[in-house]
Amino acid sequence: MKSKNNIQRIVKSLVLASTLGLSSVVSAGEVEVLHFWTSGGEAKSAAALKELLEAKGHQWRDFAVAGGGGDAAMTVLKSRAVAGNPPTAAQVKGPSIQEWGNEGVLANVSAVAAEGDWDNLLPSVVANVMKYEGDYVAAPVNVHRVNWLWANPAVFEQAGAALPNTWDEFFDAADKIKAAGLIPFAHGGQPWQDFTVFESIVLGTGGADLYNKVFVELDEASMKSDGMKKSFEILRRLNDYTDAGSPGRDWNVATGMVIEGKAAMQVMGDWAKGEFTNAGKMPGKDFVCMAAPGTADAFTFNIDSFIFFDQSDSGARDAQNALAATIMEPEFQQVFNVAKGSIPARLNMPREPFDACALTSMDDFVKTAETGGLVPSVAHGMAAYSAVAGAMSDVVTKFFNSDMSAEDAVAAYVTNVMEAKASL
Amino acid sequence: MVGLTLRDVRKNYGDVQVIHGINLDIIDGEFVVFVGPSGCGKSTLLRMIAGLEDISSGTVCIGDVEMNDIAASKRGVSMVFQTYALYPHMTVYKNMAFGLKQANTPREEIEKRVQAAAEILQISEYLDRTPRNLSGGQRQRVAIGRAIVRDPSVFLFDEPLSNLDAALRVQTRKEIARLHERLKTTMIYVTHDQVEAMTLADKIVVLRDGRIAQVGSPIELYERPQNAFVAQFIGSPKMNFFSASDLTSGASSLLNRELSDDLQVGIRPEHLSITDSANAVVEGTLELVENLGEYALIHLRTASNVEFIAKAEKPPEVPKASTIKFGVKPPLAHFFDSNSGARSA
Amino acid sequence: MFSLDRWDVAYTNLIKFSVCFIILCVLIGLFLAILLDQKIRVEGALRAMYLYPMALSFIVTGTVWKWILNPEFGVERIVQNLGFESFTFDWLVNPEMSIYTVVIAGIWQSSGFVMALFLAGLRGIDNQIIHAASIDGASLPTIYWRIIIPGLRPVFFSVLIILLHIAIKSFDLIIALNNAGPGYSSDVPATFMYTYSFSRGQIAIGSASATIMLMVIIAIVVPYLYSELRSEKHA
Repeated sequence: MKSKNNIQRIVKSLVLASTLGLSSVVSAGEVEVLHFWTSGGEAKSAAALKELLEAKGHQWRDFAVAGGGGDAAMTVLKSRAVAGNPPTAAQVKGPSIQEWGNEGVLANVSAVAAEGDWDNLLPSVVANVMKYEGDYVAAPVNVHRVNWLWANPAVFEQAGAALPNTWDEFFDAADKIKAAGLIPFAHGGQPWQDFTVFESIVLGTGGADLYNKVFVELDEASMKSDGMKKSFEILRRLNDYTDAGSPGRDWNVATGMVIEGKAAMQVMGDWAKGEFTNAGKMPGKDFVCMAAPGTADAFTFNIDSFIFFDQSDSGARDAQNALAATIMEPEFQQVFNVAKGSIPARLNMPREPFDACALTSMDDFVKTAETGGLVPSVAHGMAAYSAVAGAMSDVVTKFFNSDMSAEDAVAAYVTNVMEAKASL
Repeated sequence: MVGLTLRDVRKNYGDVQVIHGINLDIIDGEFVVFVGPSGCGKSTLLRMIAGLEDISSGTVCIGDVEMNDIAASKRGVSMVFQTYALYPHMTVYKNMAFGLKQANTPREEIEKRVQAAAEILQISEYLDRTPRNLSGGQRQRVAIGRAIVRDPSVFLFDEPLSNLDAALRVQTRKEIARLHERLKTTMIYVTHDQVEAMTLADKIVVLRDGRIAQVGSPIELYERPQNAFVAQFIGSPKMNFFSASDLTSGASSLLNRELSDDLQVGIRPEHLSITDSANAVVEGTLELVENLGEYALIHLRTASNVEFIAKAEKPPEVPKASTIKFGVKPPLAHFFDSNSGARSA
Repeated sequence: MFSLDRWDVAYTNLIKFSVCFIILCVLIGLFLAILLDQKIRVEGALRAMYLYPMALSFIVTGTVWKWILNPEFGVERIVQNLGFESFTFDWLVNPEMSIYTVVIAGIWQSSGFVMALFLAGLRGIDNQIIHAASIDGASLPTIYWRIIIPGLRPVFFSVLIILLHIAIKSFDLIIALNNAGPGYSSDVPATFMYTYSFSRGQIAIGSASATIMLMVIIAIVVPYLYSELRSEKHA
């Protein structure tokens, strides 16, 4: 008798459990997320995402691959995908999203996007990056602005120079700073930093129009234009205003020179802000953030995003959708971006938690999205395939580190880029 | 005429003296062998003559010239080494020509001398080979050839046969003897093998612990060893040594000599002959017979428990453990002082 | 790939680097070995000192030399602070000379090891050969030059093979020292291959360059091995 009772009880509870299971909207699943946020602040950002997701009852399996600025992670991702066992989501950005789309391994998260109204929350330029053939396959976590000029006002005051809004003003100020015995331009001579400066110069000289033609559309005539030649010449002139130790220097060391007042200015993305704030400096007072010369009406964006891979298991699919939704939720966007120094990818976020630089960035983001000044950063892999961007970077860095003439640089640039484009 | 004179030659390594005042005269054309057990200083002495070791005190003269401060290459000596010491990357020809080239000898002269030496040593057909493509015997001949071409006034050999097998050793020994006959140059030859010493030498210098034990012709050393050490070192098998109590009661009268505990009697195995009780000097129980066909070595033990060996033409026809009596012709017995080891008249 | 300027730079750098690195390493290593072979008193300590750099990884070597050679706070600054204001030593940041800084760091790292190999070789040479040569009238330099160094031939062989493969695979040293910069002026085929294969996803160019590296190694090593092994079989 007793055993029969027990069996009945078990059957009852099983029925109850399955009913509950069917009635709940999402079942719990596991997400495996490949990312390369391994340094201190970045790891915290990843942890924030994990907590939010676990609060929704899903499990987070961390798959962090350090090294090579993401190169190592991409190598791992490729081997996993080729083996037919990709993670649920992976940190992939820019045109690479399209490359993965071409492989036919991405999951369509348009349903989540429709529910979250992503189309209205994201500027179309950004949304297009996240879509493959019209469907959302990725979710953006943040927006970095690359065309920033970081300046130390104390140095400008000491040299009697004014903060520059154009490249002409830049060189006027630089001459005065140099005469005062200080380093006008803090620069780290690594190829990606050379290229970061160069894209801001092109944007400042030729505007978003030339920028798009040269870096996004790869238009040969525009590459040969005077604007490009002039940009190379400006880059060459910058050489006179850096110090002898600049080649090979890391970007944060160059930022440190501005913080300490040894140097006046640096052209670098908004991740440099963390260096200033960590040193206890106040924006607007101890340091100035302003658009790189001539680029006040433009915004070069560098957006980190996660792409989603097709899942066969329905639990995993649910967890994946939850992850996509979580990423776009205001809560995550705020926590993550305040920590990382970038701005939220979604519009209309509360402004209070952000500092002056971020607010400028947010305003310009909205404004340029309408005016067409919002352009992808080519130096950070947002505008062109890595092969093409690499070819461009080769010429820029070669030019910057030799006595090549601007004409030769333009010619080499056209050849290199066209070859790389043809090899795709 | 080029001889050698060594006067009170000493060698110290720090506080340790290894050569204790050697005095030696070597006349021109003599074949002198330095022999002694390992560690007796014979190789060191040779290297001091060659100029490869400094002379701590005393003088070495070659001819009439004091050589102490003269470089090895200027002493007019050639040396043949135990390991041949050929230059491994050079052909036989170049090995032999190297010294002449260093002396800026004209090319034709070098060619002539190398060919002549090669002919003497019958190595003409190997001149283009490198040492590693030669057998041990061939290599040693090249090393000798290298010594010959320099036309030295003194040849120095440092255990040149030790790395060869037994058959080759005998043959090369013969060749060296022939070479000496032909060149008539002074040669100093170091070995630890008394057979080489006996067969090659005009004069043997027996060394012991950095001192000369005896100098003399091979036959002098064999017949009249000046001390127990030389007596035991020269000859094979070694000389037997007995004290008075090991011998028969009639030994004293048979040997015509008063025996006491201060005296040791040395008799070479080949001089012991089987005899009767009346003529027995020593008797022992048979332990082992080594029959080599040509002769037999009889191992025995006296009642006083001293081992000795007798060499006989034929093995004795008695069973093991039987007693055998031996006699000796009185002139063939040697007497040494038990304490100093020196020959006693 | 052959139309790429960057590949041009990479393989000319490899040639410059390999030639300077190997020749200088061998010379310095041999020189040190001969010095130590003179039975000097503190040999043990000196040998350890010269060998010590080998205990470091190329990453550490690269980082240390990056600081030493940095014009802002390295050698140049020290000498200038000593009063030689006009002194310049900016090879690290000079695109023309940057590859030679890799040579310097590489030599610092490897010459001690080469020395150890040569020293072992020197100790293995039969003393009697040296005696024979001195009786033959050769002076000490002649003995080293004509007798001992030719006798070290197998050691040279090992040293060359080891140094050559270090040179061709040199990657970590360059990455740590100046990250193939300034620009890509100290690129070598290994860093070129890495950049194209893994950073830019141009697997085709990456594998082409890797294949060329392989062929270069085969082209150098195989005939060398062949000649060495064949001449040994003659024995």
